[in-house]
Amino acid sequence: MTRPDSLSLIMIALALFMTVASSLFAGAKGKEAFWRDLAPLWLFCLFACLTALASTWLSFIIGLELSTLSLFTVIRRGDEATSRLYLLAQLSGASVLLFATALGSSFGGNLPLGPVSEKLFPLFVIGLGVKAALPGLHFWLPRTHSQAPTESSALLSGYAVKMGIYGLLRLVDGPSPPLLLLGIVMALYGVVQALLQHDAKRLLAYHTISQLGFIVAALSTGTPLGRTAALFHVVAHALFKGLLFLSAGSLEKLYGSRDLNQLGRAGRDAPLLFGLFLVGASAIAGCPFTSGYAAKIVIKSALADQGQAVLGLQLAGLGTTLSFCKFGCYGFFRSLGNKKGGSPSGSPGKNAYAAMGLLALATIFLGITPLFLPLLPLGAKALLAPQALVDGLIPLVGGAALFALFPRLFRPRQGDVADVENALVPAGRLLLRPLAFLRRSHTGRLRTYIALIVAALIAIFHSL
Amino acid sequence: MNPVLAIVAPFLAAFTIPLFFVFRKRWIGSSIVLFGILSALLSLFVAAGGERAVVMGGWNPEVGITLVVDSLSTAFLILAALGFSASLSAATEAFGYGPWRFYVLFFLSWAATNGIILTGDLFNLFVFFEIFSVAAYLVVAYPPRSWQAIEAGFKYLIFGTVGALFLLIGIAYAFMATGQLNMAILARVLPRAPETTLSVVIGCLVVGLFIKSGTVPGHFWLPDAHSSAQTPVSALLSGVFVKVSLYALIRLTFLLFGNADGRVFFVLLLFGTVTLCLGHLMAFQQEDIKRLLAYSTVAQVGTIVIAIGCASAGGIAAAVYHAFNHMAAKMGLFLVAGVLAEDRASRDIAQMRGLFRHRPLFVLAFCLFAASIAGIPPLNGFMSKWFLLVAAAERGALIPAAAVVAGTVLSAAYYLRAITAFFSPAETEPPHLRPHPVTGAIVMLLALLGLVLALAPYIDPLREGLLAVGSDTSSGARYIGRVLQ
Repeated sequence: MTRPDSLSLIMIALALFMTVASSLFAGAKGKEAFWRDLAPLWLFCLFACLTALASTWLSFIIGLELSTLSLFTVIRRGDEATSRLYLLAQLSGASVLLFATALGSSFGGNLPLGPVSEKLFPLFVIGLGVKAALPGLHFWLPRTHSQAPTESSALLSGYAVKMGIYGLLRLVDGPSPPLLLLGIVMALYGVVQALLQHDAKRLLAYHTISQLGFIVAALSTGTPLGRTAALFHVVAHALFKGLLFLSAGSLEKLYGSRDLNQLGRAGRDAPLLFGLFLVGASAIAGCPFTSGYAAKIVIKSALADQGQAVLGLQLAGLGTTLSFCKFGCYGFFRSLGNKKGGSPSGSPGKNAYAAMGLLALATIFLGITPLFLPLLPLGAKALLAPQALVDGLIPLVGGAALFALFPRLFRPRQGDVADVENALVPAGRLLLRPLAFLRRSHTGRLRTYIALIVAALIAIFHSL
Repeated sequence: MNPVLAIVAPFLAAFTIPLFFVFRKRWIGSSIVLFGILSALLSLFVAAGGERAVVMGGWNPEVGITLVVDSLSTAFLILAALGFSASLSAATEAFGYGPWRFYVLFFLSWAATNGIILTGDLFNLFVFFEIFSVAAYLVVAYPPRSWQAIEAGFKYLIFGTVGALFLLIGIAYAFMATGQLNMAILARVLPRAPETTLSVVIGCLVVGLFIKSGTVPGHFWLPDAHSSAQTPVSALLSGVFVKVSLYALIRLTFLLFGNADGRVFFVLLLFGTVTLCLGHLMAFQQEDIKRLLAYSTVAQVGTIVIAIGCASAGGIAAAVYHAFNHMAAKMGLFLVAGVLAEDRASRDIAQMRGLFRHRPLFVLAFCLFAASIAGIPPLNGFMSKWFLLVAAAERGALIPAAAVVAGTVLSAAYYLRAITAFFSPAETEPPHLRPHPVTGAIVMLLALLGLVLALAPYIDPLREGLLAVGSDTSSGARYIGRVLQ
């Protein structure tokens, strides 16, 4: 193992921080609850750190699969079938990675973690893409994020998907136009889907896809600026998305539902929760002087020579604002379902507030520091430049204006919106049909079997 | 120590147990245990004794029967000793010492297995295969009360006989073409035979071994035999019997046809891939847990055949390594599945709910073995899969490698189905039947063996040993030199 560089160290710090916040939220009481709830989270943290320290692709894959397994045991408590989907999807991705790594490792030692030959590049992108939810390979993400227990949703969105991004950061060392295209598609697709959702956690899950699109677009430039931008957004997104997931989970704890049609009273019942939500929402929307703002300015300047890409990201930003206006409005203030407004049936608890407060503080800190310290390669001044402020405000103001002008258009709907995951069951059935034939061909008739053996013998004679 | 002792000791057991039955009934139990220990120890001593070739009766290698211990046979001797002793201990718990006929067959198959592994003579190999198979047919059908077991034994008998027929034809043609039966001499003279003869010899031998090892299209006997046999026998079938045929496959392909411009290896790659896919896809559809495990064995046989088909030192090392890993994991799986199925009085996966609360350690061991077979890192199954993938990549066999990788996901899916059933709550508590201390201990030892195997690439002697098996076997020169010195 080589000495960890700053990228690895940042990932490790992030993993530790996210796990602290998640386990604070889970807040296990008693010995049994500790082993059941917290041990898998910290096991995940351990394997995530090992993954970040890996110096070869093989050890990276080992860490990846182990971390998947430990999260699997947490998701299992939320929903059994979802956890199986998660495990199998992640295993498939890791298997593609393993295959590609084996191809790269033939005749000469383990493939070191880093750029690979051009032929293997697509395979690596597919393998990592399952983890990082590239378009089409994201089929597992919305369902997993929404059905998992809240603390693991926060970890999933905050760190697990970032392990795929970390792999991409190690993999990509030059400009990659296809990856840029994928990033923009992701950013837009995620936002469009998010606007159509009514389940709060599912909405957040689609925003995860959208924000990952920003990151993928940034790292696809291959320039140092782009990579720094991607890394900064990895950290920023982990913090604010963790915060948002925890606040959605707190809403669920309060009212027993995640459906935006059923919520809408929390503004009065739990103003502190709304305040924390606002920190996260303003950061993800890119409100000036937040971490999301700083990240997006740097991403846009890294993509400065790609006009259309920047335009796509601006559009995605606009959609993000719209979507969080909707979340804030129907989640906290306007009740659609129960007009009478009963009192909350539970309470998120002190530890949940502590976890969210921790993440909110970190988000604010990450938003303010770049204004004074040269944390980002652009320097502090670039963030305060009038041009940057205008750029940052356009999607914000535009989104808010759209939401105010067409409120009916953005009301939460009933029913689900189709996505790739809906194709899984029919596709599975289609694949199972030939399997039934295979089963029927095992008739138990010895004559057939021996005829097959003789046929194989003749085929072997022929080929030799 | 003379290698013949490893063959003689189990034979001695097989022939003296009936005598004890006639003259000293009370000694049967202790004699079975003692002979078991003796056979295992002698096998291990022969394995530890280093490489050598012994010609029986002091004849020339051309005429006499040679017994050869080299790195490959050492590895498989150890595998057989471990597998047979584990199965014997499980059998003494499952059946007691009453059914002495079973133990006669058991020791016969042990002796024949050691014979196959040690012999350097092609016809002698066939003879041992026949002894081994006859014992295996009967062991599968034991106890002859259920018609499924008898039908499975009968099916095995038919297939085994067809396989033996092909083996015999292949050996006969080789003998006709060269006038030799010693494998080391054959390795020198057989390549000079006419090309058509050579391809008939290769085809017959390979198909015969395919049937014996359960490679497609000779796999039809395997699921029935594995699922209908008693638990210790299923474990033995999957852990050792299948591996012996694979040993013969490695030995013959590399020694006799190693330089037949590699076409035989293409055949192995092809059939291995088909076997792997078919095994996983069939296992995916099973409702019966032992049938599921049996089809998983078919898939693992395919994996090992692919590793042999890579035709390199790395491939052989991966094949041997995977054979050990599969032995440890699949024997454990069969033993656990047998215990759990007995609790529920059903082998239907849907019926096997709520067993985690009932027997937590057994179920956890099942999870460990299943993860190892599926190839979840950093368990032993993953390690051997990795070496196999690298060997396949070096050979340029991309489709087999992709099939191996896809098989991981499929096998995770079907094992997950079984594990989910174990962990889900049950409507009725399973009745608490008898405890299984011996089986439990063996399962723990097998799990421990699996963990040691997982570390094998990091333990120098084990790693060097595996690599030596690969490099010695792939060229064959060392084997020939030792026999004909």
